[in-house]
Amino acid sequence: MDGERLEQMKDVTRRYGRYRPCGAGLGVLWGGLLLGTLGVLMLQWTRNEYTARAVESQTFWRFLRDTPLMPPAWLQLAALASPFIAWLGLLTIQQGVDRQFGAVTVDSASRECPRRPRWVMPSFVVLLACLLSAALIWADRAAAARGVAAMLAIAAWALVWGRRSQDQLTLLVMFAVSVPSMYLMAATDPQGHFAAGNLIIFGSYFVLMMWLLLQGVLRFAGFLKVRADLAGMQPVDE
Amino acid sequence: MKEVSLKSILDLDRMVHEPARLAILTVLSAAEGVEFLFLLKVTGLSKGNLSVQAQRLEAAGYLQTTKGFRGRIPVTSFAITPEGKKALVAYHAQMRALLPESGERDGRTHTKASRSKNRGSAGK
Repeated sequence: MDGERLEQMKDVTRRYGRYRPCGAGLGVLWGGLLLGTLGVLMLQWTRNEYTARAVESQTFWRFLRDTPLMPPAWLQLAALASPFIAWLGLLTIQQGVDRQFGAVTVDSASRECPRRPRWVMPSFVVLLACLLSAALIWADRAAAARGVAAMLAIAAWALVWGRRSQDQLTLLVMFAVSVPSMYLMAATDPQGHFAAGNLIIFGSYFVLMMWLLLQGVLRFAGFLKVRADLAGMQPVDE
Repeated sequence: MKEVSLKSILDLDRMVHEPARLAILTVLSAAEGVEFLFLLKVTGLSKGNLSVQAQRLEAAGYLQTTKGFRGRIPVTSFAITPEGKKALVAYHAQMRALLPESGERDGRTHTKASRSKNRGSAGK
């Protein structure tokens, strides 16, 4: 067999394995869409509150900083659901990609040192959930139950996606979706003034997501190129 | 020299030398695990032939098969075993020794197709 041909097969396999995870980059679009939607919902809610409750000449920012705002139940539900929906969406996209050309795993690094690359982000989510839960309990033990339960559920879920993620991009997407949701659940403290801070947190995580989107687009472009190369492969002599 | 070459040819691992099996092992050597569907696309073999060749490689201990499900769809994955890797490396070394001039040039080994191509060009 032609050595060049064999090298080409190896190269296509390696590239396919590298570009395939995270739904060939499309998973980032999904994560970005969810985070963006949650951010817009939060912004819309705060704008509505501002219109209804702000005193005259009070700026939007001053209103957010001075008024204790508790997110409504629908927003809490959306925040709690988004990491779960994000992961299920990622899985569905990945299955769609794998249904066309099959799966190839090339990440030997994750097998060689399973704890190092995979567990940093989920551990950070768990740590943050513990800290925010402690802060919430400290502020008002009676009212903290729902927020703490939601944050612990998100933290437990982080262990699931941490274990099953195949690459760093997937981990980063899940991280960027999970953390703002937890901050939103931490705002269930009735005396807390979290709204302004939460908008900043959403903004900063959205910037992270934009960077991830760029990575996703590059990955998808690479994936399309591999697909084209695969389609152009000559069959082996039978 | 000719005797050495003849012996080397006879010593070639026929399990690896067959083009379809060589292609399968080469693809598997580039990854940790490869699904049946991808192997089918990258090699261009028919489903039946790919199954048969994979079974032969598995029987020889060069390949490991894992069966699972993606949703409700059955999925078969393959991985090259350490023995398979050794056999592939040894095969390439033998081929390089047998065909030093072409090996130095581009690492080519010959198939029916390349041989007929060579014959065609020699005729011209």
